[in-house]
Amino acid sequence: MQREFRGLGASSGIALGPALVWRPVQPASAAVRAAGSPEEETARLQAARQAAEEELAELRDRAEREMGGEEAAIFSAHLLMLSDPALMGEAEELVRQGLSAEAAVEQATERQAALLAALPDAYLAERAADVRDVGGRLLAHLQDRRRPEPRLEQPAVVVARDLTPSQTARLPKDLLLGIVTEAGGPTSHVAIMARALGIPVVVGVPGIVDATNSGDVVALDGDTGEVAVRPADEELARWRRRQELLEADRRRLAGLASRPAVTADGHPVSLLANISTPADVARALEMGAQGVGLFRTEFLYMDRDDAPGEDEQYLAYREVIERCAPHPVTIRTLDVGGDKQLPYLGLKREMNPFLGWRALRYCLDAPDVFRTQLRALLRAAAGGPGEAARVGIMFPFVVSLEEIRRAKAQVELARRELEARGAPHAGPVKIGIMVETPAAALMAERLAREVDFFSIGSNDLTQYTLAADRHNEHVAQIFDELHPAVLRLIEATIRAADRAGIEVSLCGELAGDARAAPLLLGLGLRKFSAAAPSLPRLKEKISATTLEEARGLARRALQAASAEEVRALLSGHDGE
Amino acid sequence: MKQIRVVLKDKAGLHARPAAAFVQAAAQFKSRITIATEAGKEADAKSILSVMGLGARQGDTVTIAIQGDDEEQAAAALEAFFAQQGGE
Repeated sequence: MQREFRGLGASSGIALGPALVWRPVQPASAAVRAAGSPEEETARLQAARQAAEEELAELRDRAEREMGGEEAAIFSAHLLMLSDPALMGEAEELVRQGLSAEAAVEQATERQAALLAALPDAYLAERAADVRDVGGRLLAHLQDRRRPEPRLEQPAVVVARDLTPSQTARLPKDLLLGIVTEAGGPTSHVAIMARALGIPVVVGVPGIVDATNSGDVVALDGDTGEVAVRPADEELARWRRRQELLEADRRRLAGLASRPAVTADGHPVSLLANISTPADVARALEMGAQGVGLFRTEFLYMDRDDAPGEDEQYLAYREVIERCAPHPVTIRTLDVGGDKQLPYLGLKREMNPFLGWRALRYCLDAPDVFRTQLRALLRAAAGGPGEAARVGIMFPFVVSLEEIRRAKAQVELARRELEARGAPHAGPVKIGIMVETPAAALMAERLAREVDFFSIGSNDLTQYTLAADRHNEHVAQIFDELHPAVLRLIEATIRAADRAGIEVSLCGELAGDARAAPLLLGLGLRKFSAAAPSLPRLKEKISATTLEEARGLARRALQAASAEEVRALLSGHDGE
Repeated sequence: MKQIRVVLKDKAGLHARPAAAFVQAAAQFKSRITIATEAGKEADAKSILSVMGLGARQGDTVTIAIQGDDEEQAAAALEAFFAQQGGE
């Protein structure tokens, strides 16, 4: 009879296969054994500790090889616990008082575990399980027995009440289809390790062990948390289809992500991602991004009553810079205006917020806010040797040389403030600007001498060039990034960058529009920064285009009289 | 006796991994080192379980007291450790 459950999806993917239900026999209480002399028991305790240490070191090294640093760290933490005076020290004391080594370990373990479990913090409370695992390992060595663990002999979905880190680590990866446990949350070790292994896992499914027999077919969805036991034929077929679709999509994307971005005639192109928060990085990298071309920092300022502090900002920038290593990250300074409700910034309600006191011009008038961000950025860029070279700071909404100079002066002031505090910070960092106003595009040649890079913000550039608000339904149809006026400004910007020998990227939505890629390539663009999901298709298109075709297309597009003509050119090219 | 006060910057406060790193840093020194929260809970800095048991979070201020022959070096090392916080 079919049974359905829903737990917490802890590791993505769909698994389908025979269950291996694991119901370990509880070991008899260890305290039954009579104690020898304190000297004898102390010696036994030390021997058990030694053996446990060696075992944990081996598990840690294996986890490092098979799963990664974070998972191996779980065992490092266990090693630390093993030498913790609060745990071992107490056990040793109890032994001196006459308890058997087993009873001493049990008591000391339970006391420490209970202390942790009582903490209000869910993450720390889960660590009580770690203490029990360490205690259990010591006990096993004292009793000279192997700790029970599931034995996988053929591919199966392991169904258990819970799994310790070492049990999870020892399951043969080539036979492990998936895991379902009754216990556990998203920060449990099973979840952390499974994610590293790419194996689907659902946790928090009470009753699943009793409901399942070994050999039953089990299906689980590690994203939705759905679990089906003994699904009926139709259900099973549905699950199979879902699994196939997921697999096919994954294979395709994985294939694309790892392929280099090159034109059909072998010219390399850089594809980066636009992100709004640190959580976006993982997906960006999965999609093949070679770095972050635009890290929007507004999320730090939204939905709150006070400005984000320097340390809070530092943490966020640091997180992205680290997760992206060894790739470059370009971070844009605060880009908000009166259209957003942020009273603590002192922004005004304006008739024309998009032509108003916003972004860089606001920041230059609010040096406290601006320099706090700059200090956080300079600190975040000072990771290790060479790290500053892959971080770029970018100013939005520039219209004049004067603004660039004033902004750079603020960077210097921020730097001096950090020096005065003795805080570690980066030396020279790449400084660039968004080219998203007609003024900046028209002055690009002059501005290029003042900065290390440009990034073309095609959305705003289009808005300001065509004087139409894309969100205004009366004029939305006028807004079109492929309007020749916009293309000419893009071309002028790229040309100015090339002449000055600085890098230029395009980070507006246009970058993510695969159909426009040949056009942009033809205009000279070699660096695209787009939303992560668009990258695979973009790469596909680029690899199907030669520079010669691209240049021909661009030449004709620049001569076009309207966006419609440009679109027709692009469709024509598509049809070739 | 040396005392240093730091504000915890790591997003995870003094949870498992930063706690482990801190304990490993403290364990290098012979001095007796304790770490206390503003609420008055104190822990042996060389005991990972006691440090985790403080439940110290990001933004909390902790005071580290160091007593012993190598207290100067220990204070310097632990100050450097916290200055690098959040960078792991």
